[in-house]
Amino acid sequence: MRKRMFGAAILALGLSAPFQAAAVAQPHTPANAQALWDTCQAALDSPHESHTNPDVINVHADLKGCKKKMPHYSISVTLYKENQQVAHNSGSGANKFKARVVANWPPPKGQCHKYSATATYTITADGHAHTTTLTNHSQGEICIHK
Amino acid sequence: MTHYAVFLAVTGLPTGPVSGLTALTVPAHRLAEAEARASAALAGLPEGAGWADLEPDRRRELVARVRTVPHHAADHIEHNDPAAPGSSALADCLAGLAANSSLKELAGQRRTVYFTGDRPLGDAAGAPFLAGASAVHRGAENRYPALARLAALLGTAAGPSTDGSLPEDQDLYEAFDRYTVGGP
Repeated sequence: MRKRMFGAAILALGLSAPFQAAAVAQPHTPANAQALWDTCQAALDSPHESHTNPDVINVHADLKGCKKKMPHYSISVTLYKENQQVAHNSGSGANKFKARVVANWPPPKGQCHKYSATATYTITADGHAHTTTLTNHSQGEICIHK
Repeated sequence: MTHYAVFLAVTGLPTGPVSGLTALTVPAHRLAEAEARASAALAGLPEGAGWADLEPDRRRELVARVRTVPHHAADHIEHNDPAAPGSSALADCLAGLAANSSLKELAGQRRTVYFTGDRPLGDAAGAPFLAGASAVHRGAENRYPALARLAALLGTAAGPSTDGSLPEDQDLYEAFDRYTVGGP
């Protein structure tokens, strides 16, 4: 009953179907992860269709799992469509437990492609820069329908 | 130039010291859609419930639903240290938001600020982050109740998000494309 009422509420709001699909979606990703500094881990999920913005491909690069604040961090993430760079983003800051950056790309509709991503992470603490780079791939082709 | 709406929830008792500030940033052109999706996502949430009060299944359900709310970022700044001389904890948090959060990359963009609640801003009213805004409103819940509620919920979810007490699928910040959680 609750599900039916929820769906009815969405229709009443004039919201589109992707909401319902996304609302039941599970976290997408086999993420690649690697310890970086103290308990902090770098993680990169696999490129996927955005749960928030229909028809957008994105990938998330995270620093998380820290029990101590990162004195300084930077994240740089790049999204590729079959080896061609299509999106890039970066972020940096200080004194954080966790941070996430996203690379977003709205591909032409009606196309299917394989995607990959790389992200470079640096945590600087006590004068030392701890750096790693992770790579991940989409789970097969991602198709954006017309 | 893109216009953003920034929903700010202050952590701390209404008349007590400020212990943190949470920002939920939404592109202004998607504000109505964001409010509608947040309203649907939070439907049935008990009044005043914090993240730690919810059952695990409810938290998982909310994380999945909140993913659909259009946003730029979620940022939480905690403030456990004494305020800088001549400043206040809220002013420190606002400075941190501008210089050391996902909002840093929006410098130069237009923004309208919506504070949840009606806590007086005091000397923080003159903070550059507010002075540079197109408008600053208090009582966000009167205009955008669901987004105000989501900002407040993010404030209560910041501790569990960083203390290792919750699995990832119960971490509300996992629902956002960009986030930062930490100090000013």
